[in-house]
Amino acid sequence: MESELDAALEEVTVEGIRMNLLAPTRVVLLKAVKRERYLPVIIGVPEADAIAIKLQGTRRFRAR
Amino acid sequence: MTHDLLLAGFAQLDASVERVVVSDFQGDTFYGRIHLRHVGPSEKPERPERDGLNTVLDARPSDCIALAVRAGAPVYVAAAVMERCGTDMLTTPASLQGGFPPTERAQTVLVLTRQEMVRFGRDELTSDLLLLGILAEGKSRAARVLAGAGVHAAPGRVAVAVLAGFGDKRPPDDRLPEPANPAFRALAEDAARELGDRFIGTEHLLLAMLAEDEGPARRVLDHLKVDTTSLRQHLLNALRTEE
Repeated sequence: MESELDAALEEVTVEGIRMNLLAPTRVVLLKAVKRERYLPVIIGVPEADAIAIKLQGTRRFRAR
Repeated sequence: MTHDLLLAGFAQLDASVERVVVSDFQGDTFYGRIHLRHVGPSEKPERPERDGLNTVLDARPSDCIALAVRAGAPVYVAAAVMERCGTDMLTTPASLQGGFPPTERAQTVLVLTRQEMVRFGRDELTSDLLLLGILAEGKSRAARVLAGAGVHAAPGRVAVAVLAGFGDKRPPDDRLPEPANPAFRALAEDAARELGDRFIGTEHLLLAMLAEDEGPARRVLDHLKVDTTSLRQHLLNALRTEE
């Protein structure tokens, strides 16, 4: 069951969060581990902050 | 924070975050799941009934990711979601390079426009879909002026469906799409130049849509009975007063 599940899933890392200082939305960018493919997900500012606080200093975090 | 509290709660209940999954995309919303693993009897002999039990919680992807980065748990995306909504490169299209650079917000609008292309089964970026991208982002000056004229995302999508219908294609995977009309870039740059700006923002994109001859966005606005002349004037006034 585990392998069947994994076949339908792709592991990703949190590549970064794109922000606009004027916009009340953020885009969290998920990058596939094994290939160059990205999934942009629009999220709210508090949610983005909750992710960013933990990413800063522990992993590559790019704010643009 | 709340996520730390949630993790502490899981620990008290002898559970840990095994993985999180961005599992589905419906309408314009992503859905996620948190997979919890309960600690087995060898680790917690006093709670043998939980051995091997797994719990799956529905959650927003943002909460899933916030928990995963705290718990050190892996993040997964359902293959179908990655195929449908993912992109191979997040580069700025050539048509928006060279001259004036697009603002962050204009780039966000392009990402959202790509999702509209998926929704309507298109492989070409036309200005009607770019208009929907601006409406979906919703916070730009262009979007606020459109909202002031009664133009919102949902009726906009209905108008696009009525006027142009649904295709069976999909946007290119290897790049963000470029406007199908090669003159569109020049129209947006003209608008920027006229306003004394050296970047392409959503306001310039909207002005280009209004200036586009026989443009698809114009047809959507006409269908929604919007007076495009006064819309243009409202936008220019809004830009002037905010300076």
